[in-house]
Amino acid sequence: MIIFALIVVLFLVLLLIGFPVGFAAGLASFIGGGLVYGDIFDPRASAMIARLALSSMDNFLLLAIPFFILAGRLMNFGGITERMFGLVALLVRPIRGGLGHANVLASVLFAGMSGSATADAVGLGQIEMKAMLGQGYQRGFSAGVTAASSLIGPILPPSIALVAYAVQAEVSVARMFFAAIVPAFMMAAVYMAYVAYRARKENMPIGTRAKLAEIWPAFRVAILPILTPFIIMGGIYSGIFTPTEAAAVAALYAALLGLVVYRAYGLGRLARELLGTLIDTAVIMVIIIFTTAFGVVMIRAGVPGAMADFFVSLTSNATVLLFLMLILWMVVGCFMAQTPAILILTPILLPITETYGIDPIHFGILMTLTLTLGLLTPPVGMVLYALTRVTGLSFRELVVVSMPYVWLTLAVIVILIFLPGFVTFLPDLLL
Amino acid sequence: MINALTRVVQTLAFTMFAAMFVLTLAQVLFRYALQIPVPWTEEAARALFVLATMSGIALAYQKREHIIVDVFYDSLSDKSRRVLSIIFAIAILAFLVLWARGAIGLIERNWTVRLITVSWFRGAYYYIWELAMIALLGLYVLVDLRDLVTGRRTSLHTQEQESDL
Repeated sequence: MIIFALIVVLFLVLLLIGFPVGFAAGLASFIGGGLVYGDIFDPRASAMIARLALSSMDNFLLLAIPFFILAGRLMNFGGITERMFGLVALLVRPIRGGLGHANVLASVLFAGMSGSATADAVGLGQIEMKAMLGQGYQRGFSAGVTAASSLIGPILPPSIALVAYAVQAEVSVARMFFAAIVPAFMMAAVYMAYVAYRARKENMPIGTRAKLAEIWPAFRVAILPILTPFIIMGGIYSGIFTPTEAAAVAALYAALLGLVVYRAYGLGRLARELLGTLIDTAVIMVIIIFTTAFGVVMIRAGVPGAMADFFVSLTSNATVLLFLMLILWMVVGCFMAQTPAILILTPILLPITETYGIDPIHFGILMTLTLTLGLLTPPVGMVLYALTRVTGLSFRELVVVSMPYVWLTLAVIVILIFLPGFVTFLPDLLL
Repeated sequence: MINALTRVVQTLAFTMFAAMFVLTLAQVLFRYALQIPVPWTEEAARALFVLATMSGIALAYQKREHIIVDVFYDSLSDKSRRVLSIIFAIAILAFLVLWARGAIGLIERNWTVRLITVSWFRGAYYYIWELAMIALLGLYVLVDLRDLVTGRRTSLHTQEQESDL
């Protein structure tokens, strides 16, 4: 057992010193697999890992990942985000601090098309910042709400992180998607409540109610991309599409919008985006296949069982366990991107939660949500790095203006720990 | 030579990826619009996904796209990064040798295995392609290792390799 614990340590050291994550999992799997057979160079170990690597890829569900990535990439072109933000900004104009609310709402809509926080921060964020600064909003406030609202992207379906978790945990993607809806709206609600508080306190701008003559043209140009999440979730819910087929249809829809409806780009651009999607998919898949293999090796060595015993010795209370996990996820999230962290942690932590009777859907949503916070926290904070270019603020200044939203998101997570029904009632009701 | 090889693999991977997309959509079309179930589309799409992804893993290395945790690495001096990069390259080569050895054994074992709905496709083809892509990846790493040792390159990674995926 000590030797296998050392393999875990080796894996973590490789990660921390900057060895590519997928290759680190692969190397650790081959060494661990060899130890299972009593010899690092045992050919059976190499065969086992090579077979696991391939068989873990041979899953139709995983095809949803490239299709959702492609749909998100295509939606970022051709002024789709501008059209969407334009409509939302008109609708909330009569509310004090309206553009702050529009910022959050536009991110909710964008999240229904793309699963990436950085895509939201860089693409939509640029438009939001320009509009807010143009109407006299403080730079720090605008940057803070832009950073925070982008966190909704990886939570609200379609979310690549949720698909990755569902595959690793062997739970239904549809259940994960529906389970994420209420937490994502809770995040949006607390962010908007904070915007309302700041708007009143700082006497932010207020606009006039938009006339129907203004709303209708904005609605007409924005409605088609806004329909995307309804096509995805409606298709899955009604049983017309499997999640993978829904993802492919969403990608086709995004391509048709860009190529035919808006004529925003040509086939050359589409081909470049397809190739980019292939690369993005491969970097996720190499982690999926070798963390799966690593998980199998660890299970054969009895590591999750030993870890479960360790946690049981600390507490027998499921809620306390979730708070311990919360601390672990926050630390990991500070150093590692969300999806790789989910792929690495799920095979190790999920067997432990089974001992405590924690719902794997509830667990998956909590882990995804907490790891997302790492996008706003130093030292990695990918969204903050991306926003330094968009907002004109330094990384340190962005950490400060984002901090209230980090606390608010943590408050949502704590509520979800105590009230798992917020996560599970929608999938239980609909599926 | 390597550039030509990369272009060929990129074209093949792109074609497989596009075909996988078309097949998945065709599955929906055949089922609802034409009311004809076509069972081979799913298995063929899965096979194309596996083959395209294997190619993508090698291409992603060449494009410096693999995900890393760069907090510690970025804090190092150029000299330390170069030394660490040489160690990384050797470790990746060791990993690839172990992987290739497993794939070679599985080619033989899966020669008689065929896909259920695409019966001309042998299970061994997966491992042959896997082996080819491991070899391509190994070639990229060897070139990097040469450049690191001769000082033409100081780091295996680029500045923007961390990802939020």
